[in-house]
Amino acid sequence: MTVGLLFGLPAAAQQSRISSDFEIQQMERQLATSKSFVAQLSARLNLGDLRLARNENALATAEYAQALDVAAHERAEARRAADMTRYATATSYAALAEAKLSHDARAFELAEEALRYASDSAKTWNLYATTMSLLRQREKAASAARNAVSIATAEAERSPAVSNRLDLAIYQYSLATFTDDEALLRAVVASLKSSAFDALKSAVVRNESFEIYSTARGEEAAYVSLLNRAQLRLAALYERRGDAAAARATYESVLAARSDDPTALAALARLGAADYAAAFDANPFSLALVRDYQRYLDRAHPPAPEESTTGARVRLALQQLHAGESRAARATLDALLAQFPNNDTLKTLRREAEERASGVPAFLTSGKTTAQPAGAELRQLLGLTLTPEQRAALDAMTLAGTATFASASTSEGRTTLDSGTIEGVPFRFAEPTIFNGTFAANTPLRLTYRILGVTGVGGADGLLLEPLRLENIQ
Amino acid sequence: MTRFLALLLVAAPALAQSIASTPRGIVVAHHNVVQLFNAHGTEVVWTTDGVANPTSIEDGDERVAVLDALSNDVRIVELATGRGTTVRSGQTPVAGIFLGRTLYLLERDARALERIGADGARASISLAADPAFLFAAGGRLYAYSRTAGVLQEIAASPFAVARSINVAPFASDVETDGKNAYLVYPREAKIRVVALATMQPAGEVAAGAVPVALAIEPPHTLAIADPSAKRVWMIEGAQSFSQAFTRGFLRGLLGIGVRPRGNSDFPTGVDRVLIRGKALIAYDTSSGTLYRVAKSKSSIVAQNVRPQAFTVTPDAVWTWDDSVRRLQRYAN
Repeated sequence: MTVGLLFGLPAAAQQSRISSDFEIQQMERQLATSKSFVAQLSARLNLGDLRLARNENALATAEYAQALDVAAHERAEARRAADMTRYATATSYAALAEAKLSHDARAFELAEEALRYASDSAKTWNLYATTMSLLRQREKAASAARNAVSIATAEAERSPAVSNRLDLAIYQYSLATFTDDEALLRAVVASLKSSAFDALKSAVVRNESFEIYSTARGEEAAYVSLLNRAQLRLAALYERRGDAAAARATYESVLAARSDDPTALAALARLGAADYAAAFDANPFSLALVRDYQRYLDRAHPPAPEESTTGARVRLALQQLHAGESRAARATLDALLAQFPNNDTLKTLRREAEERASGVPAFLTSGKTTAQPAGAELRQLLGLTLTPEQRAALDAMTLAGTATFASASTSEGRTTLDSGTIEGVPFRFAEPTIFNGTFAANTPLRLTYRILGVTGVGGADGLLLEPLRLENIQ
Repeated sequence: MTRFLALLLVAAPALAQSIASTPRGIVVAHHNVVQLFNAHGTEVVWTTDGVANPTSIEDGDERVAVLDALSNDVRIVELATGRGTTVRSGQTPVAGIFLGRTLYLLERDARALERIGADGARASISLAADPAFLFAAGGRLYAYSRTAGVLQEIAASPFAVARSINVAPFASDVETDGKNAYLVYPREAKIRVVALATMQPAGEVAAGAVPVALAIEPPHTLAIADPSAKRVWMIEGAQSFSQAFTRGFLRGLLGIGVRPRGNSDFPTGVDRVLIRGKALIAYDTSSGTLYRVAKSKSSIVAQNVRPQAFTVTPDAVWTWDDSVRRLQRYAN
């Protein structure tokens, strides 16, 4: 099963879609159409988590605050109705929402309150475990998850129904996550793929279920999400201990069920088993992916993306930043920010582009009137917004460096030249210039010049130069 | 049904506060400090360093221990001088008891009982899963492990588990009258009794709709907080509880028995109950409302009180208002 089949869209159309778009759409629909506590709460929590994965932190916080409101209202209603089981559940979710909002003390207080009423509930312990993990209390989380597994194991032994087995698998997944228990994760994955879940697997295929949620409603959704998460966690553990082959195989197994899973795609790119394009298309705003791609650019020189997807535009911005083309990067990022104004990854990159632009190359502050700036300094200059004083200093400077022209036209001992690179940085003259002498294209030449400004050269940022002298290098 | 899958995210701390009465006055822990107020609550006797999230205060005759169950820190302070020391505990210190100057600390998620001597010497013993309640009787300590369903008796010297008994798991409160342990079961709506002398079950009784907590009014009356019924049930045995339960004719079935206080009804569901002297105080965690009961009539003492921000002495109810950082006294 692939996302393509499920969406029923051609592959090209899918590429412009961010992986979580569908889930966000579904959750917004759920909010609008179903007013029950569970529907409203799960929608808010899922939307918060989906927004968070896209680094839309303000939107995520707003969703968690709404989830807290929903849970608080349910707590009050349950208490009024003297329904203590309902009260305990609502209190557990209120604790979880508080934890997501970073209200640690209140989250802990509520989680403890829920346990007073429902310490016999595996679900309550599992929620407690997750709340503790959000509070960075991994040992508490593990302890609580052990209690959940213990209770659910007894329930599954008493009644081995699919729902009880599925619940047990969820709690085992939590425990394995909090304890990095690879063997338990393998057991969970094997259990989910076993014939015990055949009926559920058939329903998943029949209904083409593929959405991944952190708060899943119904057994099909829980099954699909759990299998996805358990495999991703297992693959991460393989990767951590250096078993790249096992990690790759497990990530590929995730993609077999969902071809645009952003975590698996990013991992495969990181492992060198795939390019970055699909990963960026699946989630262009993962800061971890962005940083990984920036490290990749230190050792590789991929061509500028030709596609116009959001992921491709983010990759282009990163390439521009890496090349020191801060002005072009800012323009690319500004266009993306106009489309995704709440995205914190884009804001971070935009800030970084600005910071690079504010760095002044050393030759400009040397106080001298001549210099041979390095390529990095010239790139720095490309992104710089000059102060009047810096502009005046630059105007007074005569610079020199090694230039290579893209083309040369020679006639009667004179050569017409227009553009090329100097110290690896694109440049052009204000107009084609005729030099006395014969000069070849694609050959290093010594150019003495002044910098007039920054301009576009072949679609990239470059320098606008006034040539003073051109010499062959002996 | 909603199923929850864990996601790992990040968070940052918020504030908590805790308050307790001691022989030297009222101790309040808040905002990383511990303060002792005089017996009238009018003056601060001393202020010392505290913990980030004070979740409870355990008081002894000479020392108090402020527990931070979230961060696993314990601040032990001398009541006379305010001098103290902060120690790291095992995971989730939820309760403690002083026997003399020695602190016994129940570390729930470490599944351990730790002894911290007056000289700082430490020792620890393992307990059954989810030890959630600790009490002392007859110079011995008792830990109830909630999910395991085990009550363990621990001798102070040598420091070791002396006896264990399997009881029903998942109690929401455990109290003692010195001879028996009373365990509250919300789901089953039952109180179970264990005789400590024999470490044997001594009976059980139905109690309300969803009993959550209880308090004991000497010599042998149980006050049971039932938030579902919005009531505190008073169960009075004609004889001692152990006798009554053992003989199987406890008249404490609700509505039966001689009760100096009748059952008390509340406008909201109360889930905690405290008795000090003649004062019976009930608390509704969901709304933060404190009630006083006089002649079976309940009245509101204070509202918007956090669960650990009140304490009761024989003559007054004390609350801590963290918004204005003020100790408030309400005479009984």
